[in-house]
Amino acid sequence: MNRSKTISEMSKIIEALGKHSDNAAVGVLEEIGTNSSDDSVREMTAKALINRNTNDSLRVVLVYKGKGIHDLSAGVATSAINSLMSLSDKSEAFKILDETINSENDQDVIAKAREVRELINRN
Amino acid sequence: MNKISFSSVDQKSKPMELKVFKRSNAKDSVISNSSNPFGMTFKGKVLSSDVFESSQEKEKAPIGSKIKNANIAFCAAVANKVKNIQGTFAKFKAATSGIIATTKHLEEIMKTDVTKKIIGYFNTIRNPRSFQSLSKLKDDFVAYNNMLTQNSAAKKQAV
Repeated sequence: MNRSKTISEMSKIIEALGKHSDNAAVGVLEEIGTNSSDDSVREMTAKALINRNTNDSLRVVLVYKGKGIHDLSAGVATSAINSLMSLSDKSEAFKILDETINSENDQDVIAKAREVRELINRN
Repeated sequence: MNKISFSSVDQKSKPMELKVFKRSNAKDSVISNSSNPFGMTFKGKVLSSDVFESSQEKEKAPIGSKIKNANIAFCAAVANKVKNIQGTFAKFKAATSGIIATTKHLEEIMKTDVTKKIIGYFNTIRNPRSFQSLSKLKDDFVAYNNMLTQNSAAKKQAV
């Protein structure tokens, strides 16, 4: 199977996982999607987690180092931030970002959370 | 199962409601695939009796009644309208000989809970993976991810 077909199939799987009624789907997205070596898979995963808009799904992309807004790929991180800004209800995201800014130990994570919060706030 | 379809109701009294009515001739309620601009098959169900009701017998359409082919265009129109209300409305009107009277009417339909459910249903049937179990999704996700990793490793080696 060529790359575009594989990506297209993965996009359907990620979308289905993002909307799955079982909360364990978040764990699957985190375990496989956010750890994928492929940028586009990580990007789609972050988007699915953000659109799920639950505490546990947002936590993965907002708090965990190297994932979502903290992704080492600027493209993936930017895409995650854009998805966050597109959310109609950002209350949960704000709550998690505030918690992260106030109680996280990692300074890089705090700085990024603060930066993203400011961006969303301004938007 | 009832053969049901949608119709706009009296626009003066309750302009924004939809009614479901039984058709005496089943063929009348069917839009053939060739005239369906969306080319999709819809096997939906009435999800709420609050909005859909029989205009003939003045009784509620039973929840679970099948939504027949006649509503393919309507449902597709509603689902697609999220992005392009005017364009979809034109397609819908062409396909249904104008069952729905106005674009405004469609806009209001969009606000109903039932419509939201129809949109949700459409989003589901657009992606067949939505019906799969979590374990199946996980297994396939792992398999495709490995495939991607192996392909990119092979490409790097070739370079």
